[in-house]
Amino acid sequence: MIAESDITQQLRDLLGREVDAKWEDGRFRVLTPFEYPDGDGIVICVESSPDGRYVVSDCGAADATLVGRLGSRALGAPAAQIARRLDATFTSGQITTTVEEEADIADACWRVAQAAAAVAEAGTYLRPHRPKQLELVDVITTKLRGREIEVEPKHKLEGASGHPYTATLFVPATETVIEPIGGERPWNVAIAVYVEFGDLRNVNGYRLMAVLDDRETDLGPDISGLLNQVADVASWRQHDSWIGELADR
Amino acid sequence: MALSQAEIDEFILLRKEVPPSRRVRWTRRSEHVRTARLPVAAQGVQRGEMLLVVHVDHARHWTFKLLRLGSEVLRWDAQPPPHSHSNPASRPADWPRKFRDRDHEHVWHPQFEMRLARPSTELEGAPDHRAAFMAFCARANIDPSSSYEPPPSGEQLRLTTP
Repeated sequence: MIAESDITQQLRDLLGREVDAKWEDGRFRVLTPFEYPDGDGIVICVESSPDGRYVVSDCGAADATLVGRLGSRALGAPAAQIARRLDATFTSGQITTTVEEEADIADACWRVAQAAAAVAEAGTYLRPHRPKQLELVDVITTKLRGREIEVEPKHKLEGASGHPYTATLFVPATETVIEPIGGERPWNVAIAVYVEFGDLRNVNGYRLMAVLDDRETDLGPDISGLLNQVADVASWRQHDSWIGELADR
Repeated sequence: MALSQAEIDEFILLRKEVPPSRRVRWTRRSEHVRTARLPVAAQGVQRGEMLLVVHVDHARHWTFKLLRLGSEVLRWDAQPPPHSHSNPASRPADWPRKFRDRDHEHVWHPQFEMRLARPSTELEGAPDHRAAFMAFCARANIDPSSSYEPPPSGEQLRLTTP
């Protein structure tokens, strides 16, 4: 039967193995037993300040783990609360605390590392990342190329007014302009495409096609009603039909 | 929409490029951290992006990320010692449990997502940030064109008392 003292000793050995400190670039870097959500160990910086105190900080590392997931200010309020609970601050992306005595540095490292772990976890798990849906333009392009239909992204065209437009997709063989309609504000996209198609419709006989992104929800009759005044309106759900038609032309 | 292993494998193997008109532009994330992002395209269609992170107060403290649909799928980390990484106890057999003071790469895994990492000799062999950027692009099958700009030069920032 294992004894209490054995468990205590095992824990002490484990923690002892997990910590390290090195002088690097003008400050101590202290490896702690804490980890970020991706398994990387949390490193804390310790530096003496001109007033004789010791500044203990994560040097912005917890916030930096969230690059690409959250903007620099997105986690400000909860991160500040987390840091406050541990007698530290979260300011401008950095967790910091200050101690007067050398003997208090280890405790400060422990608290800042705990805060760094909690801030990174809050950004990772409490605001879980939702992968963006594949852009409709990518899906259309892949489908067209799968049917060996040549397609040019971002094709430059000039409207009857002389205004230049960049068609999202252009099929040269049939001179078809394809504009996907969707995103967070589909009505705004539709208005822009309505103007573009209105200006292009009397130029060169282009075939104009708006493709509604109805992969998750219908966009509503007003959008198709608007666009149908100036263009063919196709639904992504019916893509087998209209892509087949483009291929056969 | 969850990413599948097949989709990620295909994405990493796909020959990609940074559009020739795009260059690295560094922006300030915090006092110590600068970031940059670059689109990654194939056949003229943007398929993902690269994110670069540097900690300016260390000579060699960098992260390179490849994202697909906003999710990290490949990442390289370099930082000064001491640092460590632990893989989960339930990791696949060919992944180390733990390593110390090694530049490393995180690779997306269907069960562990970006939780798994292994030492990267390619990154460790890169003498400077440019070389590391080029090696990461080679690893991720990305033609960087002439997009590279070095990060702001290292500076010893003094920690301030709050």
